[in-house]
Formats: sequence, C-alpha cells, structure tokens
Amino acid sequence: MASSGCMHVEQLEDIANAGADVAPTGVKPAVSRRLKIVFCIEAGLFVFVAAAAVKILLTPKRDLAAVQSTQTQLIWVDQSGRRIQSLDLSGRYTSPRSFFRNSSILLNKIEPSKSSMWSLSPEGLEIKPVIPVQRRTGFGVFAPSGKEIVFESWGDGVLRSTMNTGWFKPRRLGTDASGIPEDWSSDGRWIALTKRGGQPQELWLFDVATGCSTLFSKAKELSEPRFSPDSRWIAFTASFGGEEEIYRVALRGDACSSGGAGEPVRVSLDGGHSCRWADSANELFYVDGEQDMVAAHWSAGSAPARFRKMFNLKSIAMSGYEYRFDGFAFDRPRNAFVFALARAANWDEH
Amino acid sequence: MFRCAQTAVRSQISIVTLALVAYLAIAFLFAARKTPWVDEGWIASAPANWAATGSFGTPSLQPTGSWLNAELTGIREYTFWNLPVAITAQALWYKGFGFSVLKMRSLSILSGLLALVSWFATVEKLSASRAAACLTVVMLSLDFTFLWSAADGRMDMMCAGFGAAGLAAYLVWRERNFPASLWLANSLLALSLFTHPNGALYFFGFVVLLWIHDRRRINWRHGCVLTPYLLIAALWAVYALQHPDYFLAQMEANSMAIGGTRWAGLAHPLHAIRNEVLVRYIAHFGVRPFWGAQIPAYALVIPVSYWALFASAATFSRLKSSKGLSELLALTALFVVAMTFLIGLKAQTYLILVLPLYVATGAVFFCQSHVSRSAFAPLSFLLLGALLISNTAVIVSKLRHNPSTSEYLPTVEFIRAHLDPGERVTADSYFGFDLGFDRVNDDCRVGYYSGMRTRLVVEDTWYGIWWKNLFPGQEPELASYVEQLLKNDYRVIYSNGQFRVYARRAT
Repeated sequence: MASSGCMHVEQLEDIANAGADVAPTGVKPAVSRRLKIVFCIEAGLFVFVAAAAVKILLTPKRDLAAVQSTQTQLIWVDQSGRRIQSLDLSGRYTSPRSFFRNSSILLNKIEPSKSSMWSLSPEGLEIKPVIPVQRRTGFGVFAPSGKEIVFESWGDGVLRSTMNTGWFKPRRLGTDASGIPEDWSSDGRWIALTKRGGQPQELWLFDVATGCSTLFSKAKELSEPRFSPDSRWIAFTASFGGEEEIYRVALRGDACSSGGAGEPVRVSLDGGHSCRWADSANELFYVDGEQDMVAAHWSAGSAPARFRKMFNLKSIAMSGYEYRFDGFAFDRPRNAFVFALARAANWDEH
Repeated sequence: MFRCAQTAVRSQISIVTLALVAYLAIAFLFAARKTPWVDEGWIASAPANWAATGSFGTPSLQPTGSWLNAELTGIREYTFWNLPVAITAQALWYKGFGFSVLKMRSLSILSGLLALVSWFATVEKLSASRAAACLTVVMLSLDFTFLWSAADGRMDMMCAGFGAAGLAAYLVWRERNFPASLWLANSLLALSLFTHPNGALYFFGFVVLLWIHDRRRINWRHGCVLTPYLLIAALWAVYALQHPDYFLAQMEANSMAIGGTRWAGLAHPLHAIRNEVLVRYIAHFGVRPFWGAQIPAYALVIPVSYWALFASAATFSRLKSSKGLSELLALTALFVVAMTFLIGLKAQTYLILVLPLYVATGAVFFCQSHVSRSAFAPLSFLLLGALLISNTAVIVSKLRHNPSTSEYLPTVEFIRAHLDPGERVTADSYFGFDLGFDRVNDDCRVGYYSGMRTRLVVEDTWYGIWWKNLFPGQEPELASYVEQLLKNDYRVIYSNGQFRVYARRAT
C-alpha cells in the first residue's frame, strides 16, 4: 500500500516537473507530453463543468409542487352560518382582511419562499396583486382613505406607500416601527403592529401624525388587534399565562405620548381568538374555544352584556377543504364573514 | 545527550498516543450518549437510503418540511442540497459496515483522528517544535467542542479533517517533493471543499501558506494540480444533470436559510461581528447551546481563553520573533474574519473550523514563551490551564448525562408501540435512525403545504425552536396554523425531556 503510494507520488512529481528542470538555462523549457495530457484532461473537465453549469442555469424553473397542489376556496357566510357565496382560487390565499371605508378584501398569497398581497374587488370578485414588487410582502392594511397601504416586507421592515396607479414608492413607516401591521384606526391616527418573534409578545401603536411608536400592551401571547369603528377601543387576542381570551382596551388620545393604555377588559367568557368588530363599536365577533363564532354585544360600559353563538367553524368546511386557522374578515357590504378554506390535492389523513 | 533526546521523543510519542486514545474513548462515549439531532437525520437519510435501495433520495423529508422557507423540490428522488463528498462517503460507509447512528458518527470520529494527526504535523512543521505539536494534540483531544463535533454525524468534522490534512500534506512534503505536496494537498482540499463549502477556508489558508513559503517556486505548470477540483465538480455535474431543475431548486432553497445570507456580513459588518460573538461563541458555550445541548455556564471561560490566547500570542509575536507563530496567527485571523463576514449562517457547528487554529496558536505561544523565558510564559500557562480545566469539566458534566437512553430511545419505543404497520409519524428525520426513514414524515410545517397530516406528531427541541422562535417572526401565518392545529386537533399523549408526542384527537 505504502509503496504504491510512493509510486504514485513519484509519477505525479514527474508529471509536474517534466520538462521544467532538464532544460538548459536560458532556454524556454519544453512542456512534457504527460503535462500536456493533464492539461488537456483539465480543459475537458472544465468545459464539461462549465457546459453543465450553463445547462443547469438555463433550465426553466419548475413550479413548486406545493403551489401546484394547493387550492383555496373563499366563502362568504352570513351570521346564521349559511353559505351565501364562494370563489375558488388556485394557490394558498390566507388572512382575508376587510376595511371600514374600502370594500376590497386583502389576502396574502403564501408559497414556500414567497409571500405577496392580493386584492379582491368587491364587484366582479377579480383578484389581482396589490403592489408591483418582487419582495416578500404580506399583512397589508389600507388607510381609511383607501389611498395608502402599510405592509410587512421581510428584509425591509414595515413599509408604507401610496396606492396611486403607476406610482408606487414604498418607504419605511418609521425608524422605530417594526412587527406585523394589523390594523389602521378609522380616524387615520393609529396603526397597530404586533411583535410576535419572542415572548412576551407586544402590541405597538404607531402614531401616524407624529411618527412615534409606543408599546401599548404585552402578553405571553398577543395577536390580531383590531380598532373599533369609532377608533375609541382596540380589541385583541391575548394570553397572560392561561387560555387565550379576547380583551378590549380604551384608547386615549395621548396613548403615544404617555405610553399608557387603559386596563384591558376581558370580553370572551371561555377562551377566544380572532376578534373582528361589527359595524358598531358595541358588537364584537370572535371564535371561542369550541370553534364557535360568537357575537359579544354590550350597550355601554366595559363588560359585555350578551353573547350569541352563531355557528361552528367546522360546519362551514366542504369536502376536501378545511378552515385551517388562516383568519377571516367581516365583509361589511355583504354583512357576512369571509373565510379562506385551504385544500391540498394530496391531503392525506394517514 | 542522545539518550536524553531519545527519552524526550519517546515520552512525547507516549503523550500523543495517550491523547489519541483519550480522544477516541471520549468521542465514542459522546457518540453513544448524544441524542441524534436534526442535521444528522437530514444528512443520513439519503446515503442510508442509497445503501438500502440504490436511490439517493431523502425519503423522510417533505420538500417543504425543513426549516428553510423554500421548497426542496424533488428531495425524495434526488438529494442535491448537500455537497457530494460527505454523502457519498457515508453511502459507501453504510454499504460496507451497515447503518446506525453510531456508525454514522464513527466516520466523523475517524475524520477527527485525521484532523488531529494533521494538526500535529502542521504545528511541528511550522514551529519546528514537537512539544508544541504534542500540546496541540493533547489540547484538541480534550477540547469539548472538538469532541462533540467528532461525535456528530454532520459533515463538518470530515470537512475539517480533509482540510487540515491538505495543509499538513503541503507543509510536510513541500521540501522533499514540491509538486507531490501540491498534488496531495489539493486532492485533500478538493475533498474538503466538496464536503462542505466551508472547505474554502482551508483552500484560502493553503494559498496563504503557499504565498509565504513558495511564491517564488510556483509557476503556471502547477496549474495541473487543479485537476482534483475539476474532477469532483465534473462527477457532481453528471449527477446534477440527471435532474437540473431539481438541482437548481434545491440549491436555491438551501441558500435561503434564515439568517444565512452569505454576504450579509459584508453589508452589515457590525451586525456580523455581534452575531459571530454572541450566536456562534457565547451562545454555544453555555448561554444558549442549540447544538451542544446542555452546557454549564462556566464553559464561557473557553471562548474567552481562546480570544485571550490569540491576543497574547499576537502581542508576543510582535515583540519576539517566533518560528511558525506568525503563520498560525495569520491563518487564525483569516478563518475568524472569513467566518465573521463571509459565513452569514452563524451555526455553532462551524466552530470546529477555527478551534484547532486557536489551540495550535496557543500551544506554539506556550512553548515559545517558555523556551524564551518570556514574561508571557505565566499568562500562556494560565490561559491554557483555564482551557484544559474548563474543557475537562464540561466533558465530565456531559458524560454524566445520557439523554439518548433516558429520553430519545424511550420516545422511539413509545412511538413504535403506537404506530400501525406502514403508518408514518411526523417527526424530525433523525427518528429514521431507529424507526426507518420511510416511517418518518419530516415536516415541521405539519402539512401546511404538503397536506400530509399524520396521526402522531413529535415535538422535539428543533421543531419547538421553529414553531415558537422562528416561524412567528418569519412565517407568522404558519406559526398560527401550527399553534392552532396542535391546540385544537391534537393532544399530548407522551412527554419525556425535550420530546412531546401528540396524537390527533379523533383517534
């Protein structure tokens, strides 16, 4: 074994040295035949590797299997749980969002490595991308005027842009604003953002007028804050150690400057998440621990007066489709909830 | 005089032999006690599958099931996301010796042995001090991180072993047979480079040494020694051309590791330095050791000692001419700078690339400061002593626990008892070591893209990190989906240490 190793080394030495040391001084050394062979082999290998690299780079990209096999069904359900409309979409659309003075529904389209925002027109139910950028974006929130949008751009942070046709120039929301944009108050003053990367999870309010952000609330888990239609309350899902519940907090005009918030008032009775305001600040919808859609209604004050179970989320799914916690919106023009149901073609319950 | 020298040489050989035996013993003890981890499962799945079926697919992994926010298209048929040398070596190893987690780790332990011998040769050649070479081997043999890496199935130790052997081959042979040294060095460096991209560090190190020692001897004829790189690249290309679209998709996906953008360090240098120090070093040595599992907090002495050794050795080298020390300092600096600014992913497993250089620098510094009776001698003694004591204490502390027997294997037995024939369990790929890779559905997104939802789901440290730390910031909707799915559709039926087994409620 050792001798064969030595032989090999000597041969290699010959190859590299051949022609180099035997030439007389001042004469350009000849290149040995074996060295020429080695260089020819190298050239051949190089050409092959380069050609392979070119072929690989010129190969058309495949559509991702996860995208090909995924479908979404948007369904509109009235308050009795009756399906009133549906729309099939190719791909995975999630987190429908509705706005007080804008009748479009915003959706996130999720693919492995990609995320983009899409808008569904209320009239023809046409879906189109919201912004012409290649960045990974999502969680768009329209301004009450409908002329601006705030959204998350992974890598760039929270961006804000006007929605004028043909002119799209996003800029940072603010130097200290970060997290997921959740809602824009109907008076245009506040933008709610959540930071959910660690614990505790935080709710921040960004003051559009002053450009400063304030930590408004924090909890072990905190998500989906929503401003009331009159901008006087903010409701959110939070867990302070136990089950997730719905809370609402009165907004003070000086919340940003003082950093203070009112005391959270628990709304839900026995677990709850994903709250959405109805048309008035006296009614709030949420999903309870048994996956029932509940309406909490109060006339005034801080404690909810009446609860009404409307329908169970499991009842809205169709064969092959499921409500997979991708969020829902309350579509005010239709007075109905809109859900994004997901389906994978190769759904396997095994 | 001669007898005295002979005795010294004998005792040095005995010390090195003892160190190597200690290395093998501790590394195998670690290998037998460590719970397998996520990377080992991902890496072993394809070569084990090849040894069993002839296919180089990764049967356990869903294309959208890894932590990468991308799809590893075709991963079940072809494995392109790892470089070819490590998985080929493992495939042949399993074909020859059979497959188990210990056999996988044995290959790394052998690579560690190659690294130790190589660093002995390198230090001896550079410093002309056999004592420093012996000290390097002793320190490395008792370095916790070196041992942990050797007892790990990831390819980092193989990369480090080939890389160190490449540098040693050049230094040992260059005076006797320069062309042969170049051929050998480049063959080994090519193996290192195609084991893991981090092998490029050793190539750059080789270029630095070549520049220092032989820049006048090198000429265009030596370009022929690049053949090994081209040959391996060509063989890999042959494999890649079987499905170029899969190759492209998987390589692109693998480049999308969160926090792993290669050039991010150059764009944000201060951020890179902070992450290098905090995530790569401080976190590993006791603060948040993702890879090393439980490590006592006093292990922080180790990186501080390494840095202090480096700084002291650099100062000593400036004040006093010392053979070989400046080359080792240059190599260490090169590795540290490259790892800080060019390797965006601050994986703690990559520490194995640079630790031998800290140790070698420290050993040469120790010997030369003592030989010259420098004022630095007590400092070098103190720092090496601190390293040795803290590393030994960490090793002892790790050997007292056996999470493989107390947590992992009972969990495997529980799953096995609750799985129906032919049924798959959603769990990290490494459960395939004991359940079979075809019984595991590695999908940390729990069917979000794949639609595959199994009756049983196993949460471990890694799934926990993705679900609770990574996804809420990077893929918030997915985080919410997993949280709600487990809360509403599943219940915990078994819990042991880091493991929790969920069963679907309907069942």
